[in-house]
Amino acid sequence: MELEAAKVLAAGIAVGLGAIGPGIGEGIIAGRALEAMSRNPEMSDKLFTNMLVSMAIAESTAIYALLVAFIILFAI
Amino acid sequence: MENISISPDVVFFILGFIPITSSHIALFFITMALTLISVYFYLTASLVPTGLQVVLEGVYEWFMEKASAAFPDQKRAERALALIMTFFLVIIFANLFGLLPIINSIVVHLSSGQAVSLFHTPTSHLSMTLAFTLITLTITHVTALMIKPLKYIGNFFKIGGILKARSFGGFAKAILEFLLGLLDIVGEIAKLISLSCRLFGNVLAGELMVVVIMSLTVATQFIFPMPFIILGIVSGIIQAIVFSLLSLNYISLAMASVEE
Repeated sequence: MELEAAKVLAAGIAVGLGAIGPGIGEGIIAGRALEAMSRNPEMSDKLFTNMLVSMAIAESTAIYALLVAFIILFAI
Repeated sequence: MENISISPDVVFFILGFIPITSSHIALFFITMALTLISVYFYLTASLVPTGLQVVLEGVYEWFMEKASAAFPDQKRAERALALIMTFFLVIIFANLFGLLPIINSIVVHLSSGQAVSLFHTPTSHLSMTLAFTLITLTITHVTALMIKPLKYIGNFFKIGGILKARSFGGFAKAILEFLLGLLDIVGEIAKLISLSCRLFGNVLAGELMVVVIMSLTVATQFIFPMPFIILGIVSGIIQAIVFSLLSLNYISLAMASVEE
């Protein structure tokens, strides 16, 4: 396999596999937060901001995978 | 925007060896804008808030609520809030800088014949986010060390348990605690990477997504990037909030660990 082809493949695999975990995690966060909001609507403002923050943290592993893919594609 | 690169473009050099990049220039203009806004706010602030004052006071109160929940001491919360609000305002201006219409397409031709853009979203370069993270972590460690230096260092090197152990089981437990304390040092280094790369990666990904969609075909240059631009705005605001709240939590947790 040529180096260029290996780079493109590696970048695709890195993002593809790295996005699985955060996808599941964000789904769980959003689902639980909606459950809690529907059970107790008065809390929804507080829950919504906390949900966004924790989603952004859960998302960060996907972002790392994306960064690795960029580094593979453009910086090496 | 056409060529995708991770390292910033160097526009000129100060004294011949300090490189000034396009993101430096953009950040300088953001700082000027924030200074002007704060001077305007200081001069026109009134007891009955109107316009800009309502927005800024809303942001202040939201962060004040978070800070007074994180710190037991109100005075300390106000001191930390100065830093946190500055982070938030600079990052939110920097994240949304890429939306300005004409400014981002200004190109300068260097003496070497190379054409580089004069302005660039500051947070899509790792140097700025890394600098902000270093400020946060320095303040975290210095404030905790200033309160109780020995106790804070003892949180990482837990030698006390090993010296006090009387039985074999207690000794093994103390060794395990010591090793876990050493792992906290790795955790501190991981904070540096995670906090800076999260902001950098999100903003870079938001920008590159638009570039990739626009460069697909001629038909996708006009309406198709819009949902991705909106996604970029939302993630830019959220990442600014996340960065400031996480720095607040790091500072307050380090203080709480020495004062418990």
